[in-house]
Amino acid sequence: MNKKALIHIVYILLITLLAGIFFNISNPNRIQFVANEKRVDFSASDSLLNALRIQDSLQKAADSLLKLSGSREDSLRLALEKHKQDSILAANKTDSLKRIQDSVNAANQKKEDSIKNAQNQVTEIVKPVDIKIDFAKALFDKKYRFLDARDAADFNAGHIQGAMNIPFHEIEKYKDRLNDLPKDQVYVTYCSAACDVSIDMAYYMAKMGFKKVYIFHGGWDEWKAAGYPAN
Amino acid sequence: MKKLFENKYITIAARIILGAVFMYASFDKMAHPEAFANIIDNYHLLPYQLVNGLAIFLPWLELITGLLLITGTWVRASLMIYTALLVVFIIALSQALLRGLDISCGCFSVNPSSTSEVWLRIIEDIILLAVSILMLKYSPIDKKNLTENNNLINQTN
Repeated sequence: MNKKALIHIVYILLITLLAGIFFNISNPNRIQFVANEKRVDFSASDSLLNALRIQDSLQKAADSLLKLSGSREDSLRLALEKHKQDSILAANKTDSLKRIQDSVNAANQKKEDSIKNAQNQVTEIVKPVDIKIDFAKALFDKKYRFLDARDAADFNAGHIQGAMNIPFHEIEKYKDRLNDLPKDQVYVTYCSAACDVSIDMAYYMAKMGFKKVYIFHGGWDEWKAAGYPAN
Repeated sequence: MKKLFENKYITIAARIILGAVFMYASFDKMAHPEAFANIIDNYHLLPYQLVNGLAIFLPWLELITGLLLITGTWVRASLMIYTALLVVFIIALSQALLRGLDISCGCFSVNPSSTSEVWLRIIEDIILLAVSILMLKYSPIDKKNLTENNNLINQTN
């Protein structure tokens, strides 16, 4: 390698460095010279996530109460058959059953209220939220809309059940699909596992005014591996 | 091939084509550094600290290299940088293809909706790389060589 060429390379690199610095400083679209760390913050305090957790625990409590009431009912039936003459005892048992039924109803009411509250809070959040598969499944179970950001060929090869395909690489072409969606609803974006189009699309949607967008990071690969509903 | 790249006019045409490609590729990246930084980040090759720096300086390196090639200034040095950049681009694109990364190339446009088949870009870059290497090897790209070459042609005539 000749020495002159090496000196010229150094000159070219220096000119590049200076031009880059001056242009970036004067550019209205300038960026930081050193980027901030891009962190995926899987939400632990999201309102809807909390509501679904509460709902889950309440559901378990309600199930156990119903089970308890069922077993009590069985024992009551036996008692009634064996001791038909003991009407006072039967009345007491009926009272206790009624109380259990009331507590189940109260638990169900509380569950509905917490979901309603969470849905009311939905409009407050704009920044997309990073989620893992457990929460994605919970949102799927609540019938929220999943948006597949992969290309049509990948989508057709397999996707989360009921998902809508909006290939982010052709977003201008599919923008109308996004425009048709109500902006105050909950959406979950995903792609495959090693990809970023779901993140790009979520932020694109947030900029469009969508109020609640979740990014399912495990994507189609993790969903498929878990054996969850797919088309 | 040697004879072909020793031809003055072929060399000039090749320089202009190589330079124009790099210059064209640099414009959109310079105008949208943030979008280009996102594209670089999507390749998952560099630590995040280096991504913005590369997004700022790489388009300028492309522009200056392209400009020098077209004007015929510091041609050997420009071709060396050109060759090195193309090798890096080919490696980056190939690893993305092999890893199945669903990304936008960012080769000529930073628009994520720009349709660009990665394998097609790799082929393009390989062709440019071949031309660049052949020029480095055979072309009379230094002024001294050019003069010697012209003298030889004159003597032959």
